Order: sequence, then C-alpha cells, then structure tokens
Amino acid sequence: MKFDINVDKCVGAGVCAIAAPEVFDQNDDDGIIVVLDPNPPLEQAQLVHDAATRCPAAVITNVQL
Amino acid sequence: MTRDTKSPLESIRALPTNRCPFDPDPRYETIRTEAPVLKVSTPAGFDVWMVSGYEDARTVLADAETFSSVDASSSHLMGDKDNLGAPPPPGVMIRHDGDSHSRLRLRLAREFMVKRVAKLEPYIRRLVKEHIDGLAERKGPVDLYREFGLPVPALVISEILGVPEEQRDEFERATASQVDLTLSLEERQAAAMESAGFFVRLVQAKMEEPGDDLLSRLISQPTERPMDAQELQGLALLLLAAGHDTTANMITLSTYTLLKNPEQAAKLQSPAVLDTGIDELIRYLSIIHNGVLRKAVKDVTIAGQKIGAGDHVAVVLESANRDPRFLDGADRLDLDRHSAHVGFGYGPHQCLGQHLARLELRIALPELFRRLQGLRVVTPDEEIPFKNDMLVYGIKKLMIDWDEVIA
Repeated sequence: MKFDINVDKCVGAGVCAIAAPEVFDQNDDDGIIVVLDPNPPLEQAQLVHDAATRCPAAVITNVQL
Repeated sequence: MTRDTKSPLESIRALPTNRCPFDPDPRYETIRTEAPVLKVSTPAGFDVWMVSGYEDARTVLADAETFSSVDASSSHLMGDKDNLGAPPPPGVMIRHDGDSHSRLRLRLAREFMVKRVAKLEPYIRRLVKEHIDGLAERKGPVDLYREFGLPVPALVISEILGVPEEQRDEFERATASQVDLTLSLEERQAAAMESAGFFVRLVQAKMEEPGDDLLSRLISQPTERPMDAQELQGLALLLLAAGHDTTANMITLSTYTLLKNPEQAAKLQSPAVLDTGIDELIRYLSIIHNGVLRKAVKDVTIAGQKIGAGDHVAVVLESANRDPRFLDGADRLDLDRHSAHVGFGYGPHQCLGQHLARLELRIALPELFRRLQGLRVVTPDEEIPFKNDMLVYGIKKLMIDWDEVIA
C-alpha cells in the first residue's frame, strides 16, 4: 500500500506514531514525522488510514491500497 | 433553509454551560442538526458563533490561517472583553499563530514525543504508588481530587521542568491551591502569584546552572533565536496550566464515571483495552468545557453560515465528540472502541501533552481501581459538586472511601 506525506505541515503531535507505530515515528530533533516504511504491507492499511484520519495537521494523504 | 419560528432554538440565546452531569447540555442534539453554527452570547459579554458538529469543529480548528488563536481560548468564558485583540504573552504558544507558533511548538514537540514521554513511566508509577500508599495511611474518606488527582500531575510537571526535589512539595502546594475551589478567590490568587514567582526563580536558576530538563535544554541548545527569560516563564506557566488541572480533573471525573459504569471499570485491568479506553474516556468526558475560542481573520462560510472577519467562533468539543454523524452511539461509554475524537482539540494547536496525559491516566486509573478494594464515593450523587462554572469540567471535591488497600 502507499500514501503521501506533507512534512511541512507536521506539528509533531505524534498521533501517527501511536496509530501506526510500524510505519511512522517521530524525529528525535523536532518530533516531526518520520516514515519507517513507505510501502507497508496491506495489513497495515487500516492503521495508516487511522493515522491519516487522526493526524491534526492532515499530513498523511492519498492512502491507497 | 427556512427555520420554524417555534423551534426550541429560538430560546437558545446564550452559550449552554450546564452538563447533566456526564453528557453535554441535551439541547446540543437539536443545535447540531438545526443550527450547527449558531450565534450566542457568552459569560464574558460578547457574541460568538457556536460550532457544535464534529466535521465543522475539525474544519475550523484545522484552518488556523482563517481562524486565529490570538485571543485566549477561554476569553469568552472569563476574560474581560477589553482584552480581546491584545498581543499574546511571550512563550504562551497557544495564543500565537503561524510561524510564531510553529517555532515554539516544534522546539517543544520532541519533549512530548511518545518515546520521550515513555521514559517518565517509572517516575509516574512511583508517584501513583506513593500517593495511593498515602491514601491508605490517612484512612478514608478523603478527597480524591486534592489528595491524588492534583498532586500526581503537578509532580510529573515538576520533573519535566526540573524543579529541584527539595522544592517539589512547595511547588505542589502552590499549584494545587491555585485551582482548589474550597479556598477563597484571594487565597487562589495568592497561590497563582506564588507559582508565577516560583517560575521566575526557576528559570533564573536554570539559566545560571542548566540541568537535564526541558527548561535547561531550551536554554542551552543552539537555535536561530534563543528563548529569553520571559518566554521561558510564560511557557512554564502554560505547561503547568495545560497539564495540571486538566489531568487532575480527568483522573477525578473518570473515577466517578467508572464507578457509575462498573462493567466498563472491570475492563481497566486489560492493557489492550487501555489502548482505546483512555481515549474513549477523554472523548466521552471532553473536559475542555464550553468551547475553545478562535477569531476569524477573514470572511468565511461554515455549514452555510457566513462568518465575518473579526467574528469570534467557539468550537464546542463536548458536543462535537457526541455527534452521531461521527460515531454511532456517541452518548455511550465503551472502553473497547476507538475513534478520531477531538478531545485534545484538532489542528496545529492540538494538545502537545496528549501522550503524557494518556500515560498518566493509563497508570493512575487501573491502579486506583486495583489497589483500593471496595472503592466508592461517599457523597450522595445529588451533592457532588460538578464544575459547570469552570473552564475545565470536573468535580470540585470527590470524597471517596474503600474497604482495603492491597499492595
């Protein structure tokens, strides 16, 4: 599965890192989104979708299977 | 759209402020569908557009370019209206917009990252243990809010800010007195002055001799524009205001709620349930009371309603989180379910300390229910003093007792 991210919008809330911890983390310097797996397996789809929905800055878009 | 002149909405001229007691004012059900953007008067004496639906709430809070945070988020409830439009105090980032906000926010985000906050777990566990031990020594009944709810989060903040060990009791007393409604207004104001003075001295001490704590890192780390003493003091006060009484009220109100929902309380001992259950409590109780304020900087239309430049908007989180278009059976508490709630707000100002709040609650609540066997509230329901008149909803004093304290 795939998705896009817009790093410039990230506010470091870290919601993605709790929603899909195998796909997203936070940068140690400023808390900004780090993509651990840009092409996660399908079983992560629901979690990535959840991360996209909950992200307060709508950083994660175009979530596609 | 034509509106029935006999609609119950005709009688709603003021921001609804009374809950009953776990649910928002029942009129929000009608308001959300019939007038999702409704002009009402506020306790502070100016009108706001009240936004009560989930999607509209997210739209407003996400669009920080249109909806400014320059006026304090609770000005419509307390501030005198002459202060509207005043420049935000230095360091108080919830009142800054754009780059001025993100500069501060991104310097702090890493301090409150999931993995950073996780390092506080042993300290939080120790505090929770010591304070439950303390309850056991005192014997019941005791006020859960004052003896457990307030001190635990205050001491967590003192650890984050690097308050020296020997000053933590003094710090805890002053911060608790600030919000303790059993004290007089004068006593609370004196305590607030004491806390402010405390932070002036703390920032000074960290500038002279940095340690391993949040303030010291903000002082020592290289950056394009270092924060000055005033900003650091403002920031320390903000972190205290944001992270102390909110968590204290969540601990107290959640305990009462769970005692009223024993089938939900029984689930607390399962770590898997806590992954969703803590957020469900945050959604269900939505303690940020009566809406967060924004100011439109240009003309905009929300849910068909034109909002003019300069108008204020209050986004009512407790109503948005009960919107059935967002969540089936939203008025039900179900610790097993998961939702994209707005209990921590939404948009660039969404709660910075949310992972810390979750961690404190997920340690404190199960331990209270596990260790205090036979935990119960001794005050009759009709005499429980709910905080309908406060910025953060909760219970002013919750007298509890128990049969036995186990290890």
